[in-house]
Amino acid sequence: MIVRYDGTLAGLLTVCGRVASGSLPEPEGIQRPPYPDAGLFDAVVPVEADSATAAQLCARVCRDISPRSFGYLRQAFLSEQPGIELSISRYLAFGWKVGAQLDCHLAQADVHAVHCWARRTAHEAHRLQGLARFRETADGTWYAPVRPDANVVPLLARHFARRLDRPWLLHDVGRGIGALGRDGRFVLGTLECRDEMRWSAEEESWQRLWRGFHRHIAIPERASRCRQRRFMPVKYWEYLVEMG
Amino acid sequence: MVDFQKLLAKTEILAAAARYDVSCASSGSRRPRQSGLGSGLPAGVCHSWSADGRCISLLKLLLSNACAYDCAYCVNRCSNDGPRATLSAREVAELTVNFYRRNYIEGLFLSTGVFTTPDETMERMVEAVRLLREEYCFHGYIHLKLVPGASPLLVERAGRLADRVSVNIELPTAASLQRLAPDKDREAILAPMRQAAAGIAAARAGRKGKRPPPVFAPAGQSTQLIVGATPESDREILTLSAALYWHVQMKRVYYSAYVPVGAGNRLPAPATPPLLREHRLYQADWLLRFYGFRVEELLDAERPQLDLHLDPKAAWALAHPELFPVDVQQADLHLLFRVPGIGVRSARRIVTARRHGRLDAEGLCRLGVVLKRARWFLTAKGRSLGDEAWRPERVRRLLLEPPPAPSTAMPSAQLSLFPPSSVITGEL
Repeated sequence: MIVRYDGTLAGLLTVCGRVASGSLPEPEGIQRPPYPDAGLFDAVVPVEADSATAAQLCARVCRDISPRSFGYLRQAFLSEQPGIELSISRYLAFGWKVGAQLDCHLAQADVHAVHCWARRTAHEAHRLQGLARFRETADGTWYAPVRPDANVVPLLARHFARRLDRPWLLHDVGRGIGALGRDGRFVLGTLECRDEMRWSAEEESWQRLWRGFHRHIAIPERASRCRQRRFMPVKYWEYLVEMG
Repeated sequence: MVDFQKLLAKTEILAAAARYDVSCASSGSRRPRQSGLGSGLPAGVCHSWSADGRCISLLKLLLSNACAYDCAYCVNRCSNDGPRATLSAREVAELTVNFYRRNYIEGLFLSTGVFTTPDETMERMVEAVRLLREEYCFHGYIHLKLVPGASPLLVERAGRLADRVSVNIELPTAASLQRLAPDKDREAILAPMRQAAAGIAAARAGRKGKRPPPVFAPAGQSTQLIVGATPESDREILTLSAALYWHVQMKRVYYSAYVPVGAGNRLPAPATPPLLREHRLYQADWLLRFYGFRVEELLDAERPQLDLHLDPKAAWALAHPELFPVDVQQADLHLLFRVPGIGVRSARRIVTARRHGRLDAEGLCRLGVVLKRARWFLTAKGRSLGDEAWRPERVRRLLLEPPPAPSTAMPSAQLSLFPPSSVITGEL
């Protein structure tokens, strides 16, 4: 049986909740939009997201397994890796059996898959905490476009809300979502920039200063472009002021 | 209004003058949250990587590169020709907050040449940091250099304002210091270091109490040693590092491969900086701090240098064949720490995971063990993961073999099956 859900965390939690309560059999595949063509003999069951079921499951995971496991589950989900839903569903199925010990079974395949993708998401979020670049726009909002593999904007928003003292906008250009923040708070939502950005008068000069600093801080005798690329992969260069 | 032309010229000169200072960590600071700009993050964040592959996490600048001293290893020595520049406290603050808001940096690293007396120089540094903290309400990370010979009062103020303080030892022995840095005196370097250690310890001890004392360098202190400019052995260098870690609770000792700077130098100029030696020293340093090794175990009077071809842990393991192979299911944590290819993290994961089942090669891989190295030293489920018999000589040869060259048999067109990003990063 193949289950189709709407691609949200609440949707996936609804699926897992139904499986846990026995109203849905253990699925063989879980698909999110855009749905691939169903096989000739596949039984496809669409499941609608239901926030009450999702909230119930969340509480149950925290109570019967552990809040940390829910954290892993959420981060693994945000990796948006194909097939991660099935790993999450099996991770929970195993979790109901072993309870709070779930995250100690490090060599079990599903636990490993969930931990591994959760770590990737966390790692990319940590990377972008450093590699996101804000630019001052003419209207005084600080704008940072990013294009991450995992859906890390929800994780990054908290970090920037804590430290920035000006209104800011973090934009996941690939997914068309963003976080808008000011005074230590933020909101998440879909985001589309229609007009050309206009930068403040000083923006270009500060960027030039940063590029100058960046060039001169390297020791020529130790030059190693390949080390630089290993730590700062080319996929992030698009919005990096110093590499453009 | 900032004069960007002038500021750019100064920044470039002072960044180039500061780049030989290795320290770039922005981690380990827990400062109470305050309103204003910036916050500390205990994990630290790297914001960029320069063309030499070193991370940039702090805006690394000198306040001034004018210096009265004539230290042979230093690019800013008074006998070296080159442009000189000095920043005002306000220029430092403007640069820091504007870079910080753009998320270019995690904070400021401020050092300086000694352009007048040590006290006057230190006072200018402290004033720049005070302006940044108090007028600009900046709560990001600040690493402040202590000037050797500065008065205790100024060291105290520096510790209150900065997240980390440091004073560089640079040369491992007093004799080398005397020869290459005749203006510096070892005691003048050690005095602020001892004072900072006492301040940090006092602030730590009172932290849990009812009325915690004001913070003092919450991220601790660090120092730097130059490698390859003087004839000291690795053993002397690591013995000094170990003493610094145990006696003044140093957070980090950085090693800097010596790069000849400027013409007319009194030092021999190696063709290339001893980068591999620097790397081995860092590996050994990690073994001292996190893996429970002592210097005497790694090096002794007969073998005062680290093996450049083999990492220090593998070299140690091969010198102690009687302890291996060890069984993953039974070996205690501290023995697992000592197996090449097993890190602190994977050792802890092994101990957690083995309570819930017997581990095999596949399971170990999932835990993050580097089987390529570790397999020769391990048995699992009663069987060796490497050879049937334990032959240290053969293992040494296998570990020294260069990694096999990437196969050329695969047609290059096949690479296009993977998404382009994975080809570039090498990630699957």
